[in-house]
Amino acid sequence: MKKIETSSKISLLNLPESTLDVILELLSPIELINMSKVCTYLRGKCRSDHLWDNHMKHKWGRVFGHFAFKEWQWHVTIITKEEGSVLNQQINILNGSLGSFSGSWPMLCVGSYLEECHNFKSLLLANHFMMALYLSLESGKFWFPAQLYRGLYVHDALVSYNSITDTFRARTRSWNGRIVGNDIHWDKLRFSPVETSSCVRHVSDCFQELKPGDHIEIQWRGNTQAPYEWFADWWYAVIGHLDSCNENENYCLCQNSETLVVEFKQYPQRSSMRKAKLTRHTEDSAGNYGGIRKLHSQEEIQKWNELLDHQRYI
Amino acid sequence: MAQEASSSTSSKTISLKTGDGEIFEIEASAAKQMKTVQRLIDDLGDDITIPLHNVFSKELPKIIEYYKKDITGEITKDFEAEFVKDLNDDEVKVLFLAANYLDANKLFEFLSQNIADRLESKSVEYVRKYFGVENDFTPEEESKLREERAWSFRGIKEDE
Repeated sequence: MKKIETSSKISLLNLPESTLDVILELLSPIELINMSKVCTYLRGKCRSDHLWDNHMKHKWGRVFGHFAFKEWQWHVTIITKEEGSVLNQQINILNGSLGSFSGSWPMLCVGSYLEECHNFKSLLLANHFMMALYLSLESGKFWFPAQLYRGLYVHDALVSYNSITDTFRARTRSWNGRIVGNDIHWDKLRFSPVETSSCVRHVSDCFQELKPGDHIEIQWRGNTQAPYEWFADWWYAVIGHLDSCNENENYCLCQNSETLVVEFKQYPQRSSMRKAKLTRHTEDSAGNYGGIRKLHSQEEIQKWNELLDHQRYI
Repeated sequence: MAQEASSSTSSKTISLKTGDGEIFEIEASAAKQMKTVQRLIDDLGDDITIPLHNVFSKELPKIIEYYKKDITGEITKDFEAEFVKDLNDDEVKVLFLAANYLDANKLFEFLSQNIADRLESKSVEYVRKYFGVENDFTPEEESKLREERAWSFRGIKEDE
């Protein structure tokens, strides 16, 4: 790196790296990209994973989660393999990279999709993973898995960002990739909390321990559900008491029963829609109900309760 | 700055000598905020004039002004805005380097933010001069960088 004389004797680049980093950490993503055009040394500094990891967390943390990140790692593996390798043939004619697959034909689902993946090759080969990921999201080229809030349920989809409108588009995860939403705002999205596929029933690990009062989300498909997406919707519910139980905490034995009562609070008490009775240990996917996820986070539970309150007043 | 007759450290002043030979007074409690100065005081004692080889008479008064406000708890967003308002980019850079040398954390962080803000809208050529570097890219590398910028941030205009 060549340094030239300036009016002040000490150049900012003479400082220890950690001092320069203090300034770089304060720069916006666009400015980091501009700074990498200054000289080769700054290009290297401005592409470091550490800087872009901060921006990832700051902008994308709420909608891009662990399972979406695993999809990204899958694309990285495919793109950085040598030309002509078996994995490389996953890149189709449109120059996109298909993510992980689940289910079997015709119930086949794609975990994610990365358009024009050749754009990322040189960044990835130089190990700038976080920067490549950030750009793939910002440019809208990465269709990643997320969940859309729709009334009192969430819907599994693949979403892509539009930086001009600061909103998202959504497609189904099934092979036909039908568009299911446009101009979706940030507050209608959340990251996928489980490795779900809309084509495969979620395998629940919490059946044994569910007891009255527990908050859950349960997969449910209506009879008019589009084919190949049978398990895309997750409804909020609470585990309720059996009819035979007097709901006294000290004498309640509902947890030991083979029957699980799932209660949907948006319906009035006397409505037939309010409670559903399921068998605790079945993997039967012939019925309309699918897998269950127990909610642990107060934030998630609160969000559902807010949506419930909103619903009641409509 | 009036010196009190009492021996309590809170009203004691320290003498600082800049690289170009000028002497400035600062309260001991303000000197404590600059770790380099405090270390020198610990080594040399607080009755001796502390030499600061890398700080000059142009910038030290401004630094002292900042810490005078700091020890009375009067640093506000308005004060900070006013503090840098009339400084050009080079003057801020010099202050930043001095704050770094003096290990004056609060001022250092404030000036880092100010430099980052000033860099936000500058052209690449300007930043080169500011950092004191030359363009060492090949033409191929440069066009590659331009391409990257084009597809990654839609809707935001290229500024050069």
